[in-house]
Amino acid sequence: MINIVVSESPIELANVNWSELQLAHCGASNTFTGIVRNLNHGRQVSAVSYDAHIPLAEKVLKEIADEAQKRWVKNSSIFVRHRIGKLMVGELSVVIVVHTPHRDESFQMCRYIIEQLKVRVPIWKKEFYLDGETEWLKGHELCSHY
Amino acid sequence: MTKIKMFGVLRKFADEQGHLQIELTEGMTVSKFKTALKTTLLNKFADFDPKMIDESAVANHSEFLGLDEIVFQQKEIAVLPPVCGG
Repeated sequence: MINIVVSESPIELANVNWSELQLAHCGASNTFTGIVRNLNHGRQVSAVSYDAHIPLAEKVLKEIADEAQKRWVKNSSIFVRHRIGKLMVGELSVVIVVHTPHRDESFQMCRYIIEQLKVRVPIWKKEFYLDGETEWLKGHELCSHY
Repeated sequence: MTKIKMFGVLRKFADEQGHLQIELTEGMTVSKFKTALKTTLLNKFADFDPKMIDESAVANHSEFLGLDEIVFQQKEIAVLPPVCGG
């Protein structure tokens, strides 16, 4: 099972449908949560705005999830939510949940998905600083992947 | 008319919806489109650096497009600068 959504809707862990993710043969659940922090490269951050090409972002995330299942456990469940729009410090920007039979695969798959997300998924981040300035963060070129 | 959509740091070179008008000629490839886009933005914006387009990928609504693929008559063209989600 793979469930992926990129949207403006706030991410609440309490709203995750855990029963949908749970597979009877899976004894490990790994969750990665990305949170907007208040400091980056020594600058005080007040908020972050995420931009995305939503159809492509969801498509690439699905490809990444497929790769993870192929490499580790085919019969596993993967849940990914990525927020777009303006988020204040402390809000959740991304949540990845992976259910597998054993803990090692769930850690590795979760790590693979977040690391690939950062370099392959068309999502961009603009930081808002306490001094009133803003800046789009430098990222990874998609040209090297396609 | 093809809709050109700019994302991330490139949005500042587009309108409020992130859209831009560029004339696409018959048979125009992604490579030629990027050259035309650089020329247009260089003429309009003093702070535009052509490297921003060199580093960007090009896609339609659902797929990345290679440099030799045709952009002419695509419904939508997206220009995607380096990414940094998460």
